[in-house]
Amino acid sequence: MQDEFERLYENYHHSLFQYLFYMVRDKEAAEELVQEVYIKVFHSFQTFEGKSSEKTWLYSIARHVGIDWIRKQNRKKRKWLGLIGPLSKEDIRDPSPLPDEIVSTKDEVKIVYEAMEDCTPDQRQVLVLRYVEALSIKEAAEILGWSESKVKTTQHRAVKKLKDILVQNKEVTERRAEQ
Amino acid sequence: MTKRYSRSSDEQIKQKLQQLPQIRDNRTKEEVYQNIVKKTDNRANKRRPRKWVIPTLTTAAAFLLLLVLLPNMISTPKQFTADEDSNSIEKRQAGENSTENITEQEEDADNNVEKPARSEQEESDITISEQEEESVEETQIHEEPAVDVEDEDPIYDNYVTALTENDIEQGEKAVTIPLQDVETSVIVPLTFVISENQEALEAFEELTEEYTGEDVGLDPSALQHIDWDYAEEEESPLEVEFEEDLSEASSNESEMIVRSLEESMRYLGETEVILEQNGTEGIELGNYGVLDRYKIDQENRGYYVYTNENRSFLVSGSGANISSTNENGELLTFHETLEHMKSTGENSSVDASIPENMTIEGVHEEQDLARVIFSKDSHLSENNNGRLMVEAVLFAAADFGFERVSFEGENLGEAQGYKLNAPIDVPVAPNQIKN
Repeated sequence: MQDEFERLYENYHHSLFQYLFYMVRDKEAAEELVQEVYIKVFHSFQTFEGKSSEKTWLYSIARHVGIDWIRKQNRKKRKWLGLIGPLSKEDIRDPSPLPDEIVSTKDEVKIVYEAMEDCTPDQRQVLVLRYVEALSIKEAAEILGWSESKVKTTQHRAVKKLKDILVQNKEVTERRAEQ
Repeated sequence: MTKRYSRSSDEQIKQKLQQLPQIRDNRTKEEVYQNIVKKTDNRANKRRPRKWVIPTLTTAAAFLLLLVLLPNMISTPKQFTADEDSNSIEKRQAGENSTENITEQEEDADNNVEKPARSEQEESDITISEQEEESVEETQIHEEPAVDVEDEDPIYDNYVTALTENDIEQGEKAVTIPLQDVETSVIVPLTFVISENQEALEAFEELTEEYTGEDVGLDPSALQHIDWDYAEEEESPLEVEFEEDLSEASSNESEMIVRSLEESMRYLGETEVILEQNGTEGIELGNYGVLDRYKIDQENRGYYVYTNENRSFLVSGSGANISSTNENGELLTFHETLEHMKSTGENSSVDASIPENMTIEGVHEEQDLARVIFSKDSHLSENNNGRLMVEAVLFAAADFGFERVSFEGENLGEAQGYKLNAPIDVPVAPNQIKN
């Protein structure tokens, strides 16, 4: 197992970790989750045979792992908040501390990172796979289990969504500056 | 230089996305590897599904199943027939299945069920009212061929055998998921062997979501959009979270979900689960209304044979919608259950698992051992049918709390894969799907 681990680590660790981070937006969680990916590879009933590429197969395992985590987090939060009072959308989003890399990046990029929060999970997936991980439409489609046209439409909507958010934010900032 | 956000083009957004910083895992490769090894070891020792142990029936006490199961329990064969007919009318309306039915016709030639003639009908275009008239005639006509065909028991060449303890190697374990045949409303449990190190509940969830059943001619599980979770406290029931809104589910859909849930619990070794939606207890499920818990207290089910185009499987009585009570609403005894396994209703989607020619003279219950005594002239078929019967009886016994069964009879013969001269351990689970 160790040899296999080494091979996977050398080829994919960095990408999978980064992918998981941008999906769950929590560095500590990403550390745990990337380990889960290896565990699944070694101990799952699923094998690589018959899949189109090892890379997209690993990414799709990471995607499942990430989605599971997000779901469980949301459930926990809803449960906990359920005891206190009605939920508002913001309550569910629990901002974990921004990693240094984000904090020290350009403002305009930071703003995009924050704006991604308002995209739907599907939209976020596409944005991360296509622009952060620099995967092709075909690869993204394989990982997500979607048609290529669905990837394209979702990508288009995601970019538009970001644009709208950024424009909104800019207008708000400008109005405040004027006052 | 003003940044022109208000007129950001798509390109600018994409560029910014591409400028998102690289986020690195600061741990060493060795650290990550050690963590993985540690976690894997921990998981191997984690909470395992409890063995399915149901107390043997002592009295005909009222069962503590939720009200939702009562409609199923009370349904008489007559009612079942009516449902079947209305289902077939819907099928004709949809007009989808004409090709399938032609194959069914060929397959069912040996079976004493009414399917062949029904499918002939389905090829013609008839209005609903005409269909209603004809379905009555149909039942009458079928009575004749059924009598003739009864001479021969069907041969289950493609029986999907059970997973026995011997089939499991070191470092492996079993997980069983409930798939379904939507058309006939039968729940079919399928068993897979997985690594010991994989978490049972996780594997259950994953398999339910991923395995479509296509290659064995079944439909995906009714429980695909469900999250299973251990509760915070060790001894609390599992939490089952429904992701979809099922308030508008049809009665058939809701029933399939409830029955699939029950089937799952049996193989997960759970007798109670908490049902949740949106993080709170209680789900709205079609005309069942709001359910917050699902509990199974006593369970006695026989096992029957379900055959589709590809294969034959063992299904439980509840999976096949067969009652486990007698006319007085009392739960059947083990012996009575075995007797029921010798025949199914004319319009049943499943077949008997114990051939008519096998006469059970008595059943003796000796703690964890059930002794099934067959008459002198009872003889097992040499083909797969013998194995199928043995496994069906073993699983029926398991549901009554037995761990072993001895098959006793002067001329029993042999069953493939089993030595009948000594008590046989109950197998792990039915219908093993091998990769």
